[in-house]
Amino acid sequence: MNNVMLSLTISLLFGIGTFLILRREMMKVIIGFGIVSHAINLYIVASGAFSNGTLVPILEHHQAVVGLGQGLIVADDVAAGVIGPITSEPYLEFADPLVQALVLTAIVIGLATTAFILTLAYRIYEEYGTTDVQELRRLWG
Amino acid sequence: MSFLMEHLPILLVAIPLLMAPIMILTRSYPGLQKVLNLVASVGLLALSGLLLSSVWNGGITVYEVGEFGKYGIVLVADLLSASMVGLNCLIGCMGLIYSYDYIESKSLNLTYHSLYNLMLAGINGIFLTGDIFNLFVFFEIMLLSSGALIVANETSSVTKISDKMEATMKYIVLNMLGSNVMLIAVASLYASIGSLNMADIAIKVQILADAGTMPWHMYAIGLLFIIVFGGKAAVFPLHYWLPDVHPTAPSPISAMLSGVIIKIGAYGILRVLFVIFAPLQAVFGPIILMLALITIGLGATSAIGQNDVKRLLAYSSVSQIGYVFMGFGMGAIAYSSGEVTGAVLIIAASFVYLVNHALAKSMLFLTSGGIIHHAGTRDMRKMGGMINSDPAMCVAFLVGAMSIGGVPPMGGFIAKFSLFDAGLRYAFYIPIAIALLFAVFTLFYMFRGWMLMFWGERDPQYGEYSHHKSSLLMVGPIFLLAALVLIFGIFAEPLLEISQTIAAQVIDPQPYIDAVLVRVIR
Amino acid sequence: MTTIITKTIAKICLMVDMLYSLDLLLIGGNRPGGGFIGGVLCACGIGLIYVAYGYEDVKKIWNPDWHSWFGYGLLFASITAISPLLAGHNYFRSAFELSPLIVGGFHLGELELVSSMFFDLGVYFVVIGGLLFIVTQVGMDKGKDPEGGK
Repeated sequence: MNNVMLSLTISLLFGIGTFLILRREMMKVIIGFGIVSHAINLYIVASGAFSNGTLVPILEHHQAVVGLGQGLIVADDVAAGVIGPITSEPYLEFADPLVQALVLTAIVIGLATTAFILTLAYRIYEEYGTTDVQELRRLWG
Repeated sequence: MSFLMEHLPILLVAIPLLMAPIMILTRSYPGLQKVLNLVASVGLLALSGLLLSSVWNGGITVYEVGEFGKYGIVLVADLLSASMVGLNCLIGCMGLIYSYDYIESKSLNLTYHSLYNLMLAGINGIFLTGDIFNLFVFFEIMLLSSGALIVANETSSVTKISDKMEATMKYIVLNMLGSNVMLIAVASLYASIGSLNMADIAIKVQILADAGTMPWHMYAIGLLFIIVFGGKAAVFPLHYWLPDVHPTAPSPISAMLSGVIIKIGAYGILRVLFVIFAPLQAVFGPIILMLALITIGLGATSAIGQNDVKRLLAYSSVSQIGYVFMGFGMGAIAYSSGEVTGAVLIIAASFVYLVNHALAKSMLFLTSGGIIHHAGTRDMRKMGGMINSDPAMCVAFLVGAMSIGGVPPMGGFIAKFSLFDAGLRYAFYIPIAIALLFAVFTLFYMFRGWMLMFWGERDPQYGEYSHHKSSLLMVGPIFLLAALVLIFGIFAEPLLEISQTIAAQVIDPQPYIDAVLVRVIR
Repeated sequence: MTTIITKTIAKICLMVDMLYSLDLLLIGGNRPGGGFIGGVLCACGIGLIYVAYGYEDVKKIWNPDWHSWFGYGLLFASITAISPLLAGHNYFRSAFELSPLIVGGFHLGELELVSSMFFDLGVYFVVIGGLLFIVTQVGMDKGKDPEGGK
């Protein structure tokens, strides 16, 4: 149930964002980018959140081959016979901390990009007197 | 010295990252800024040469950032990364020297220096990192700083500021879309594999493929990566931003964009296709080959009709990156059908192509800056007879045009010859035939441009040429790069040899994986 | 926007905002928070002051060069990242120390000293400087914009 709601939220955000990106108004495009990046952030978090010990949102079964050498990063998981980020039995209420770090980084980058693109849109509005993307056609030929 | 050798990979990222704030804080002293940035840039060039030689002699270097042991970010310098970093530092240094006289001084000391350093740091980071999410972060650093550099003012105001903003908007929006796609791909990869380290992912994908339990969405993730890197490299369905962005940028930035930044896509395809998704090459090889052939044709046919010199060069870049990708596609097909030596030959040839195109095209963009400066327009129909008034640019453009067109004794000839030779040897007759046809187109449009600009007489209605000659700071880098183009044509043996080793390392990622994963953890 | 209500609220908000942003900056090592989010909060508070009182009026009293704040922050963060090299460690290596906090003979607890704190401080200034630089550049009167009107 939880995963269904999560997936629906992500897909809804993607839908809204894509709709806005395809608009002609520049501000709507930028807002659309914000919404899409939040959908992606949710998606990243979702890939590290488990409703019970085994479910990862997009991969259900893991197969692994044992017998790799010592000192490998992969050896941690292979010893337990798993290859994905799966928690062991006593820790069912576990969220992968790495994805949260990834999302934090993605948010920071999103802020920088949005700030830059907003400034750019403002300067374009000063130059062209419009925020209609279709009017930006001075480079066409 | 041992300190330097131990920290060599990170210094190539850390020094420009440290220079960026120093450039912001010294912005009231333009002279000091120029000297400092020049020293840093030449130092980077030397360090990259040192890295290349140490990797060549001592094998793959791995550097742990932050000493997080096996969970941290690693920087990996194998031969491919080291040579790409060397290329970036070389073209970056030349572009920087060139921009001292080309960029308007106010723009130069307020933002240009610091953003240029950030861009160099981002590109070096992209080439050196061994962590797929870190690759995304460096992508964004590179994207934002290069986007802000496109808006920098030139001393000759040929390109209007509004054009630059429109181009930057296009560049940033499309590349942001690409970054979003990449983030989705990275998240999906992490969710299904459980790792972000490229070598670790490679092992696990190999395990999945050997066990026959490859989940279907791995193919989708691979395709997403092809979209991302194809978009960065301007391969066919996503090529349309390039001919607007590269011409409007100031010439040194165009040189960086065409010389290095679109090569990032090629580098990423090599890494993703041959290291991470090595078992899936049979699927992705033909896709890349098809897209590359369409790119070659589209770029070459569009370039023929261009009257704007920088637009001509930009369309030529689209066409030429198609040749590089054609090599990758043919290599992947050859590898998946068991021809390992053939794949090595073809990948080596396309790497030679990549290096030669990077040098020749960045040199041509720098030259076009000088030409625009001199003529006061970008329209080739309004030029003519510049062979008398600016012979230096004439010679430089001729060298570049010959190299891009594939005329001996330039480097471009060696590149085209080895690519076609390797392709024919492994029976890729139809792709090579198409490529040969459009190689003739290349020759035609490059020389059409050269003749329009330098031969004949200028129509008097467009007035006299400016007496402003290109200064030594502008001519020097152009001629250095031109000399390199010539050297790589005449003494091609060392480059061919290095490329063979690089291709062997790319085709067989086992040493890379071993270097990253089996090591002493501090 | 410059009604008396906005002005009063903005002044009150600035105090709370600054305190909370400093709190977020300091707890960043172990709990949710950190240099970035603290910096954003601080920049929002100052931005609110700019909105409420107008850029021209605030400039007469207090006009820091946000561009240099950005530069100093980036320099600080960069030097923090590069300094472990001098101690023989790798880039970005952070040091960690727990020292007992004793005031007047009373043992109050442990004080956590982390070198990544300095990096957070650098990020804090970068974010404040960057955001407010953009706010002031965009919010500037068009006639007085050195870049504008071209």
